[in-house]
Amino acid sequence: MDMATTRKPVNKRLIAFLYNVRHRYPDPKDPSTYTEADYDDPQAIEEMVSHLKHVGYNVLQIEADEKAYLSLYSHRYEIYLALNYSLGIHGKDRYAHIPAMCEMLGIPYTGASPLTQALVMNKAKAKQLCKAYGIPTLPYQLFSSPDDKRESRLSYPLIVKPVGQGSSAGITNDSVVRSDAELKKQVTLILKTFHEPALVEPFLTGREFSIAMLGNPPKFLPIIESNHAHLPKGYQPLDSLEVKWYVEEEKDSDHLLCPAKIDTRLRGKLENMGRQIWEALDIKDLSRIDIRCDEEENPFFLEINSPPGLTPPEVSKSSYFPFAARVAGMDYDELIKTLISAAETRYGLRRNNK
Amino acid sequence: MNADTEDKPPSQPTTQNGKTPLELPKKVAVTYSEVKREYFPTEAQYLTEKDALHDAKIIVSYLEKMGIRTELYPGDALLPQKLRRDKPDIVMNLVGSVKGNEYLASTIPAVLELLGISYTGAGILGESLDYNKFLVKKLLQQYGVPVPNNQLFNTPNDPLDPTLRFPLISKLNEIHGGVEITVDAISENEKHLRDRIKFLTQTYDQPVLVEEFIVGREITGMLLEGLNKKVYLAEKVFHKENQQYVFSTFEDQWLLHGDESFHYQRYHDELLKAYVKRAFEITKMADYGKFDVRMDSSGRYFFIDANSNPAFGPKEVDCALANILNLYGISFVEILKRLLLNTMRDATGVGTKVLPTPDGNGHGNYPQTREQTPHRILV
Repeated sequence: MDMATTRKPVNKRLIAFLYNVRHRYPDPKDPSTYTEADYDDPQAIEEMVSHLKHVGYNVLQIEADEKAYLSLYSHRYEIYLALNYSLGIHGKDRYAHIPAMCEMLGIPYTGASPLTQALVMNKAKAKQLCKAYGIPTLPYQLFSSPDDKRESRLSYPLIVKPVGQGSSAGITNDSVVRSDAELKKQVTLILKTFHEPALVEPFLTGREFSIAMLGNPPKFLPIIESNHAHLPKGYQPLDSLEVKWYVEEEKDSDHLLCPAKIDTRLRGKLENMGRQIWEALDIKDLSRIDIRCDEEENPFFLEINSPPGLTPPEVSKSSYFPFAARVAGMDYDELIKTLISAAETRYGLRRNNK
Repeated sequence: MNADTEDKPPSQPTTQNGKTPLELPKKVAVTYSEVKREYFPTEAQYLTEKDALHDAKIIVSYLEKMGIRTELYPGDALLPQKLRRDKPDIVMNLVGSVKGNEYLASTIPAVLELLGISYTGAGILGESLDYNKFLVKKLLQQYGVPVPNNQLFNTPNDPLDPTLRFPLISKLNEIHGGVEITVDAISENEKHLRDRIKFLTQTYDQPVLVEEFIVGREITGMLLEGLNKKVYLAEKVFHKENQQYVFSTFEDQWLLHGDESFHYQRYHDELLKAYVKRAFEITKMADYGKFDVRMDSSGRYFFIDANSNPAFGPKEVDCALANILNLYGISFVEILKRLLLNTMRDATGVGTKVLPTPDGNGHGNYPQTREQTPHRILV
C-alpha cells in the first residue's frame, strides 16, 4: 500500500515509539522470569527515547500492551512513523501484533511485515522456509510432550530451545543435553515455562556469528563472533542467558569479537547466507541473524532477530546491533537516523521530509 | 477404518475427565469484511467479498437459533474498541479483507490476540501466509506436498525460468477467490504470459505466481479440526465440453449458479487425505481449511491452492465448505457447534487438546491451547 499518498498530512516529526518493557529482571536460575527476557529495562527505553529526541523527533511512547491499539488509533493522523521495537505480550505470533495494527491503521512503521514477524517468531517455521530456499539449516524436532520419542536422526549432544522466544530466553547451560533423561527434563522445563513446544536440534560447537544488517537492500555491519574460548569454567560454549547476562556485561569482557577475524571465503559464505535469509523472509530495514558453524566451518542458520536488541550504550555496551554499528563508526544517534531513513525511503516519505 | 466412521465430523471436545461436555459460548461476536466498491481495484475482486455482511447475517441466524447471543462487527479500525467494550466470549472471525486488502486479514487475529479474545480460524501466521501463495508453495514443496513447478514474477520483465513448461497459468499472489482466473489466465507462449503478467501487476499492484497448468481432474479437500482432523474430499465434475483447458474459473465460482459449470462428487483416497492433513499443519491453519488439488493423467496430485479462510456458511451461502460437507451428510449446525466448542476450550482453558499421533487420533493429555500447534517434525 502506498501510505504516502493515502495518509492525511501529519506532524512529520512525531515518532510513535512502540516497545515492551521488562517488569521482572531475568534470572537464569529462575525460569519464571524467562518470559520477559527479550524485553528491555525501563532505563534502556528511556535512553532510546532520549536519543530519538536528540536526533530531532517528538516521541509518542506506546507500550505494546492491550492498550497500544487505542493509542495508535487516537494518534493515527499525527504519527509520522512508528518505530517498532515491540515484541508483543502474549499469543503465539506476538511479534506481529504491532505491525498488523500499523497496517490496519495505515501508519508507516520500521521493520518487517506481520507475516515476516510471525515467521521470525516461530523458529521452526523460519527454519522450514530457509530450508525451502536451500539455506543450510540444522535438522530439528518439535517436542509437544516430555514423552515424545527422539527421532533416531538426532543424536547427542542436542540443544533444547523454546520454539517462539528471543534473547536467549529459555536457553541456559542446561539447554545442552547429552542423554534422554536430560532431554526429557529440559523439554519439560520449556513446556512448563513457555507453554509452547520445545525445538530440539544438534548442538554445534564450531564458531558462532551474529550478522547485523541495516537498510534496503541491507548493508552489512561488521560481523560479531562470540568468543567462547574465554568463557569461565562451567559455561557451555553458546550464547546462553547466563553468558548474555553475566559474562557479556562484565566491564572487561572480551566475549564479543567485532569485527570477527574471518577469511574472505567464510565472510562470503556468511554474507551470502545473510542476504539469502533477508530475501527469503522479506525482511525490511534491519535485522540480526545468528549463525553457527560446524567444526569444518560450514555455517548453519540458527535464528533471526527482528527487531534486534537496540539497547543504547549508556545502558549496555554489549547490545549486539549497536555494538556492530559502533565498530563501523556509527554512533547510536546515527544508527537511529539510518534506521528511520530506511523506512522513510521505503514508504516514500523522504520527499516530504524537508 | 470404516468409511462411515471416517465421514463423521471431528469428535467433540470434552473436559479433562472426558465426561462433561464443554458449554457453548453465551455471547459471540461475528466479524465480517467491511466492503465498499471503492476498496477494490476491480469489480471481480469486489464480487468475491460483496456478500460478506449478508452471509454473516445467515450465520448469525444459525447461532441465534442455537440460543447464542450474537453481535455483528465489521473488521475495521474501530473493531478493537468495540470488542473491548462488549467483551464477547469468543469471536467468530470471517474477515477476508480489510479495506479491500486481503493481506490485511491477518490484522484481525493480531488485534484479537492482543486483546486476549479467543477466535475461530487461523492465527496471524496462518492468515498472513495464506495471502502469499508463493511462500505457501515453497513450504508445501519442502515438506513433500506436491505442487506444480512455479515462479514468482515481481515484474513482467523478470527472466522466465527455462525449466517451466507451457501451458502456464498466472495467478495473483495475494488474492484468493479465483480473481482473474479466467481462460485468459492460461498462456501457451511467452509473449502471452508477459502480457498477462503486465496486466495483473499493473491492475493489482502485486506479484504474480506463474505455475505449470496441470491438465486433468480437480479435487477439493476440506479439513475440519476438532480433537482430531477430518478430511472431506470432493471432485469437481465439470460440465464443460469442447474446452481445451478445463478448470474452475472465476466465472464458475461467482457468476454462475447451481450446477451450471460443475458439481461436486464424493472422492476418496487416503493418500490425498494424508497430504491435506500435512498441508494443513505446514500452513498453520486452524479449525478449518480448504485445499484445491489437480490430478494429472498419471494420477499424481498437485496442490494448486490453500485457503485458511474459505467462504464459511451453510448450504444457502452456496460455498464449497457447505456443499462438500453436505455430500457427507454433515449439517452446518453440527460444524458450527464443534467450532464454537473448540474455541471455547481455548478461551476457558477447560478441556484437553489431544495430541495427534501418526494416525491423527492421538490420546495425549498434556494441557495446551490450540495456538501451540502440536506436531513432531523432523527435517
